[in-house]
Amino acid sequence: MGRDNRKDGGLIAAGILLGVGLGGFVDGIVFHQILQWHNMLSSILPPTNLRDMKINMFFDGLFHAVAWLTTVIGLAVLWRGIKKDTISRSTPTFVGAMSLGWGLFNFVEGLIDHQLFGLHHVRPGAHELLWDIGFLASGLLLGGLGGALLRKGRALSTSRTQRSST
Amino acid sequence: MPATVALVLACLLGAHPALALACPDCALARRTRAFLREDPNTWDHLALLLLPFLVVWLVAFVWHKRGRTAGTGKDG
Repeated sequence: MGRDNRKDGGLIAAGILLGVGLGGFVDGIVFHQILQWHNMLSSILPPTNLRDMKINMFFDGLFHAVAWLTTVIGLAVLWRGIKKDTISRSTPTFVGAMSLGWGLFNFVEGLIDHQLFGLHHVRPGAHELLWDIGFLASGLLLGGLGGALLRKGRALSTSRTQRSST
Repeated sequence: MPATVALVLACLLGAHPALALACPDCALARRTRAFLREDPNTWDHLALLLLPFLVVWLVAFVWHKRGRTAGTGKDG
């Protein structure tokens, strides 16, 4: 495929998936393991004894497994696009898509697991709503930053296309 | 349970996020929470765990299909 026919959808899809996966690892490592907050079922089975801690750990492990799978799919999409030469190579677009994916996941996960289902909260306790709102805000912030970088990437690509055609 | 998961997904994908934010007190959310507390089992929890991932996978899939021509390639 010629360079002028490259689409940015593959790069954005790969970036979103990698952002979700890597963001999931940050969440799992920092919140679940180091701080020991945000355990998957902590509102249903608070990890206050070894049995409930083990059950929460099992579901935290499933979360990590799906985050890993998402990362692998993102890498596969990226590698396939590079091999077939069908995706653009724009740093702002790629970084923006990763930030968008991370932010989107934080927002959707917060919306579904914290607000809708009440499966768990970021930091259970007296100020859990504030922590949950902060988590949603981090999602919007990362998503907004990602959106801005995507726009920058597209503007750069458009201006280069125009320059190369004149 | 699959019907509940499907309903929640349709609600989130079909509605404005503000509606979902306002949803913690809706019948569907109450039913789901009651179900989880009543008789949790691995597969149902796994389905719920996968929901946020499913949403972002769908978003990535949509981008993959509709990305526009990006021009000359390397630009940064």
